Amino acid sequence: MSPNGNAQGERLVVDAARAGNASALSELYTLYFPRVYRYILARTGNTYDAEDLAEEVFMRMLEAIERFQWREAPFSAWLFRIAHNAVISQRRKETARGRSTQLSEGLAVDSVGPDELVENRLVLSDIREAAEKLPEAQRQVIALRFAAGLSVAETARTMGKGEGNVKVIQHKAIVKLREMMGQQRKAPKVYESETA
Amino acid sequence: MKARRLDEVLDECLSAYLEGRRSIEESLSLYPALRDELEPLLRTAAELAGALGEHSSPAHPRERRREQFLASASARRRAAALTTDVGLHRRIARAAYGRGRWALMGAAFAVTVAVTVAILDTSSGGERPEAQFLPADPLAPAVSDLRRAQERLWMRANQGADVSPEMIRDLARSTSELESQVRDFSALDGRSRLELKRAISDQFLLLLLIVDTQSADVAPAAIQALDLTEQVANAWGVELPEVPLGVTATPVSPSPGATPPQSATPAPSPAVTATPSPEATATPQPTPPASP
Repeated sequence: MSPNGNAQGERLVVDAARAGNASALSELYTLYFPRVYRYILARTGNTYDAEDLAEEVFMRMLEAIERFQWREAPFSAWLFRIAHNAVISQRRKETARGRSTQLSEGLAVDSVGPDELVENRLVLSDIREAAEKLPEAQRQVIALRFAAGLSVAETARTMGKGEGNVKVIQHKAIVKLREMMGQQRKAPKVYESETA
Repeated sequence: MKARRLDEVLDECLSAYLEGRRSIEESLSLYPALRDELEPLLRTAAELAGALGEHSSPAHPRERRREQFLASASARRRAAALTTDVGLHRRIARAAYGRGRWALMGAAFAVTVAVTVAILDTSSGGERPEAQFLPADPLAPAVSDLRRAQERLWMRANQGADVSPEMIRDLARSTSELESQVRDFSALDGRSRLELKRAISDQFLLLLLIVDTQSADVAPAAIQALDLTEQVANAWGVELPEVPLGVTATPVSPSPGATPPQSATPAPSPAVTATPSPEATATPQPTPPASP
């Protein structure tokens, strides 16, 4: 079962979770935690924040799932809206504290070696840097589609937009990111160790 | 028109790639006329998917968080079950010793107590994020004793087992002991004050629950302990929780003759809907803490 896979199976699981079934809640956690984590990591760029916020999202889900209604939105859209709100709320708190989001020292990636880790970090850092310059809607589409792995339909429901609109936003975001990342790669990187 | 078509084609190829149905090359071969425009976008998108979609949280903390999540889910279920049971206990308790006000208050707070004490319960093996006494703190043993006494009572009350008057007296002794060690509450550091406030507030709610749900045998000891708790709270300047009517999952309404508490205020219940609208409706608010 996946968020964009067996909808009927997911419905059964979600309904059981709404009734307080522990196995169903566990299954939802297993299914969605990695996606929520990646979505938040894509939005914040910080593994520690991503872990904490993903946990918070699931605690909120736990508090609210009894009131979840299918007629309003698919479960994934509902859950990622909670995740989106958690990210926005975190940003506001950070702004109030005057702290800017920083990339963590090392990305926690399972099953990769040190070289890949460094490479991933650089790629993610480039992408994050570029994505920060995108309008909010484009950033959200990129995070939902590529980090959380939602379909266009689910992304559209999460964002409260039409699917056609999401495709246009996605197209624009990819074009812009391509331009920006191309520029970043052309510009020589200055590392602290070289200037020190 | 062309831009619109490119959006559609890009998404179709992208979805096929992300879902593992087609490679980029296969998609490009399907749309040779769009190859020049499509290829760079698909390559960028593949790079994005590779960078953003492959990260996972560290395995060990992930498992710990998962256990905490499931423990919280379990605590919530127990709280809900308790709330349902309380209605019956409340009527029995009221009939037993006619304390309608206490019964009402205890029932109204059942969920809060359950969640509060469940937090203690579930966090006893792990870390409690805020305000915990350090082992070196001179008050730590007394606070720890008090918390253990509270937890023992909670465990029995939550399992529907009888609480003995001796257990309540034990709680009262721990309370007196702690009070005697806290000479000047206002001189304590903020962390200690917060933890003591929580402890005494939790205890107040727990005793209300016991008065409400347990047999008449324990009522005198529980009421005595409740009085002591209120005295200590007053001495420390701790404002005990107000009684939010309607906080329960199964609403409790005052029966004829029952006096609602004077300080009752509406509960800030978690107002969450699945309506996908920004912030206000889709964001569940955390359960309000039981203690300040």
